[in-house]
Amino acid sequence: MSSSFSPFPLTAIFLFTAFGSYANGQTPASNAVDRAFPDQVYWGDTHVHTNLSIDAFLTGNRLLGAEEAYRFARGETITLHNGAAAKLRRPLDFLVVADHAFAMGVLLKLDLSDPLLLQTETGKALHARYQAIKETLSWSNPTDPDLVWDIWFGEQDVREPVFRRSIWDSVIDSAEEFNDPGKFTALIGYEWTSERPPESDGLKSNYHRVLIFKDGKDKVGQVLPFTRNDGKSPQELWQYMSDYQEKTGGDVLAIPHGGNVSDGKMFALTDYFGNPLSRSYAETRSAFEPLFEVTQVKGDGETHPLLSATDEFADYETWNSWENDIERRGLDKPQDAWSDEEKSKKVYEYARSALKLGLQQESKLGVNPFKFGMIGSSDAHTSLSMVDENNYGGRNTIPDERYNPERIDRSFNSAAGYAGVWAEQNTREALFAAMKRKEAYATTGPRITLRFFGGWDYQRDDAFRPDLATIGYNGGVPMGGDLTNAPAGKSPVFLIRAVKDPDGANLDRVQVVKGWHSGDGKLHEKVYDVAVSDGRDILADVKVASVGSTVDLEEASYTNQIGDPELAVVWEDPDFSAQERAFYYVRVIEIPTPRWTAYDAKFQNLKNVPEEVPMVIQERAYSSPIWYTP
Amino acid sequence: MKRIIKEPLLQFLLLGACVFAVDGFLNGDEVIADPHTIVVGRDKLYAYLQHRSNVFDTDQIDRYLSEITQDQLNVIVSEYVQEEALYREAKYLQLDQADYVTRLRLIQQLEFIARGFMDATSGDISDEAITSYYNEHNETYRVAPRVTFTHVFFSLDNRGKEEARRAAVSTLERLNGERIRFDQAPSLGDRFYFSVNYAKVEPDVIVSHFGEAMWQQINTLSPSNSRWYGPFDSLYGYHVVMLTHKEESYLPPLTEIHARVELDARRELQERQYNQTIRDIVSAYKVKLDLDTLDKGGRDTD
Repeated sequence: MSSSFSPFPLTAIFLFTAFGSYANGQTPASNAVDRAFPDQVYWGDTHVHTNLSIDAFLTGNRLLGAEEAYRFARGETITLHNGAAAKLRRPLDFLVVADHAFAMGVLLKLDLSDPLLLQTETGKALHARYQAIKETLSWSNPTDPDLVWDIWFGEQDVREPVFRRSIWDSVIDSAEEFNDPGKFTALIGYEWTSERPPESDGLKSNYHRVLIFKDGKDKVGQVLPFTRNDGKSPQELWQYMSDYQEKTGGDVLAIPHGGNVSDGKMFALTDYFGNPLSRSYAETRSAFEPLFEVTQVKGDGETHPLLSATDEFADYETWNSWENDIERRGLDKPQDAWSDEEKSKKVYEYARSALKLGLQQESKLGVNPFKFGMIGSSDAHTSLSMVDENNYGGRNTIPDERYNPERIDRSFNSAAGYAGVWAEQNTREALFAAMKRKEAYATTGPRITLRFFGGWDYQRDDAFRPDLATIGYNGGVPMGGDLTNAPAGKSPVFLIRAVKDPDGANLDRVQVVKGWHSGDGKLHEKVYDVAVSDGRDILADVKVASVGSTVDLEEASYTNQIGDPELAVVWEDPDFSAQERAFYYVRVIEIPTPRWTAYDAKFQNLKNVPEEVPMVIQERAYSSPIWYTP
Repeated sequence: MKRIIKEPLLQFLLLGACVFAVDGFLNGDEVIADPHTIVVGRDKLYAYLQHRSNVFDTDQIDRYLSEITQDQLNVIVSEYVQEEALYREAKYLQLDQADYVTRLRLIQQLEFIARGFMDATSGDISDEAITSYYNEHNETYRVAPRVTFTHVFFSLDNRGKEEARRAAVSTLERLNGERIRFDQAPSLGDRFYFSVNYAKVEPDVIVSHFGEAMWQQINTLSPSNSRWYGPFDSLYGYHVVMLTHKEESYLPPLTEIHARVELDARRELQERQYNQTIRDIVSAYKVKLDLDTLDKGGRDTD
């Protein structure tokens, strides 16, 4: 051998690539090697409410604002209202504080007798009423119900710009304070919370969307949030978003949630005004709404057992309507007690069904209005993004705050979810761009790493290659992408790799959910098991054996003696037809683990927990789809 | 006699007595308590515990109060007394409210005032105080060790225990015997679930990805750019490791972290002053223990 060989320079280069560090989501100092694709998934919550949201304030969140939300998300200890300390086991990489636009900050400032608020006419009028009843004011016991009704249903907002500006500027300023490019991203946002005008039975439908801005203070500071007093239809919201883009040169996207409680409205085939969907509606919607928040504290919206009767995993954290909020889960109606009208509405509420409808609408309109990727987030009104089953922070401060033994009465709330985003770096620009191209996925809490690529030429062994991602990007499209024009005689092939949360449970299986639109105009769906743990067999037309369970309810514990830490496969669609529009998304299922209710029961030493309270779940991840268009 | 009865002063006195009598009748048995004495009976502790835990079941709290030890009861009584004292002080500044969260907020406001509007950067603190703070608390400034390594993985799942170990051992020999580029080494084994290269990571990441045992083993290695070590076992199989860099855990000298220590020392000083203020407020109140009701459990009172 001639020259002596020092591996050190190569060590330095190799180690300083982003492929190296897994230390709590932080990337190493330099990106010496230019990577064309994302090699790290960033974890965050796009939907947290603070004491600026009037419903959060009404349900007891008096003391925790945006600052506490960011501090908590990046790993600091926060004191709860009951005096206990709370902390995330692992920090998040990004957070969106998404307070309700209407009446943002009004109750907090009324409570503080804020001078700026009292300068406004509406503020003065509300203040006297508020001070008279403040000691008993709460969501469940308003002594001036008109005050609560007026403010909650948005007719009595404080519209004076001087006040709204002060609140919105404080939201922007705290995002700027905590935004730390490369380490922690604070994206500026808010929630637009439109519901139909209240009918005699109160809240019935749901058009809610969280808006996320790509930009910082210089652009976002030029506008105020668009509230439902400014416009109740999504079309008016999209107009506002378009105006923002034009005025500032910046960018903004909207993420709907709550399909499952929308009374058949979220993915209806008529718009807010009752008109059938048009091509331009479809263009606008799909441009501004690249993602859907499919799983959160108010239940899981992937699919419903009525809609997917043969899917054994379909009934997961199912909320049928707002009524779940008041009644215990055990009082849900059996399926044969559903009216036809109720059943038919479900079609327009759940993600899988909506993705199918989107294919149908595309063939009709030329554009798919429901072409969304999927993420999870919490919708916590506690300011705290705390959705691990063994560290669940609750939905509303009162009564769901941690350590309250009575919160098990609201067992229907779900400790979910998070958004996993494949981005080149942890910055506003990179995360926003990833969300726009739908290279993101949902989990119900666990930080499962999920790769999903679609192409025509992947080989079986690609699933085991260490450079799987490179093969994936070079040979096809990642999740959120499109395949078109199948080469003659070929079917789409998918390269999939799912890895467990290192601190979490093993995986039971990986599935591909396919939906398609056949020539006769009908919509179909099928769930394929594509990789399963413990060497079980996948046989045609035979249900895969259950993975079993290691859950010990007495101890609220489980072990990883079953399941696999990683499942990877290359799978080809055996039922492909090149003339049919289709979508494919991956669903990863973990082995059974204790639900937050089981941890509460053990920790609080609760006796007599009702039988119908679910105690065991199989958590999951849902990728964004890959679409096929002929 | 008649003259006395016609006396206006007497009539007013009688009227006044009537007013007090009516008031006493209407307002029942309200005892106007001494504002500087805090009476601690079981009923007061009910309210306190109910709101602290958001449990409103008196029976449950009754049982709890009866079952706990004297020490535990003493803690609860002290906490209640402190809260009550602060609340009464706060009342002088705000209207009395019935809402518990408002009570907490009043206390929060008083605490804020007691902190004297100081933020972490205000106030004087001497260099000696900073140094002595550092000497007392230097372990909290210890920097965790950080390691940089790459590894080759041999999966239990894929190979079984025997074969995985055998492969690890033979690969180790190869790596140390032949000239194999370190970045090609991982492909001699199985694909790992998490990362191949770990750059300047702290122990908790390694424990999470590999398990405590493997961290202990890695922690014994000396850095080398050419030598591989192992086989080490993780939760998932066997590994051979090349550790190229290690920063030992160390205690930074005061000069290196002076600003941070100063901030913390200031905070501690303020905390001490604040606690003293609270103690001063609380000690201005006398405490009367209503032992009959507190002591239903008949525990040993030492």
